[in-house]
Amino acid sequence: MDAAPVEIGRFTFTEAEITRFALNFDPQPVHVDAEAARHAPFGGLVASGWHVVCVWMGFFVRTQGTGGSAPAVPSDHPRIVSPVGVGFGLRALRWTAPVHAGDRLVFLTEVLEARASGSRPGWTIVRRRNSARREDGAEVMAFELSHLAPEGEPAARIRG
Amino acid sequence: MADFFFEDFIVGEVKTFGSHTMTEEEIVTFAREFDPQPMHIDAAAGAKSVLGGLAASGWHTCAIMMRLICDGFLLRTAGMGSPGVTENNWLAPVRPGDTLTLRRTVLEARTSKSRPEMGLATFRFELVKPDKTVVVDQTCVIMIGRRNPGARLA
Repeated sequence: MDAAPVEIGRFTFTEAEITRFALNFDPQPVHVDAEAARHAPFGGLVASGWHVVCVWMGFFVRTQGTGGSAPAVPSDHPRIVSPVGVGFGLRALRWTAPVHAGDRLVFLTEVLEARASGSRPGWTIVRRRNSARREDGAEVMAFELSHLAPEGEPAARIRG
Repeated sequence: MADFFFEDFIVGEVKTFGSHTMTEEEIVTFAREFDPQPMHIDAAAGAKSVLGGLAASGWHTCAIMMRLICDGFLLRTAGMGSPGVTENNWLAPVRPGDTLTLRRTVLEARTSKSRPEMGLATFRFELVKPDKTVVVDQTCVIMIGRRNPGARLA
């Protein structure tokens, strides 16, 4: 089995970015109020856990969803309209350490399993482990994602 | 001072909170930043996709769920963070105009010997449309401060 996580991007969670996401989706004081956060257990502003996951997805689509170097396909081809496909769900999402303002994270993905869909010809069912680490190597977030990927999705071809 | 503590979450209790109506503009804005697949950004591409029409990114629906959790009760709760999500399933597409309500079920509540100041509550969170379709089904653990730290629970 291919077991090497592939880096898909790096992102610095500035105070401005943390607050911008959290004001929309997770306005807990520890994510939006620097002064209140200073007196909380983490000692300062930390990113919403969902923010970290969403940044992972942004990198995943941009780096894996390029259609690869395959020949041109029609504009309505699944590889064009849904380059990384559709998620069924995720499991075992863990936020294992706080992401403080200024932390720079490395985002990774790793295919655990890829098999042809029985009900949808031309599609692959992919199960992958995704994670984020600080640059010192400490993992701060990880989850397992299952998704239906158009055949030819580059990462789906990485299989054991 | 919080209104709700660990003791206030009763196993088996089901409650619904708030609602949010999705607009095409917010679906597209979110997707451009966090899930820029054409099916989430462009109506024509959405129509040709397996989702059968422009639909929100699943990650967007998780973010909306988090906001409904915050507004519904978490901002008034002695929350101490979440270790994670056991499971999250995307069951149906969410389209512009869909109104989503949060349904919360308390699945489990347990105290911690090593951290008597808090308890762990396991919730099932569902986003439900007016026609009762469940679009997202999530099981999530939240750490919540206790009103009476260390007290024995009945």
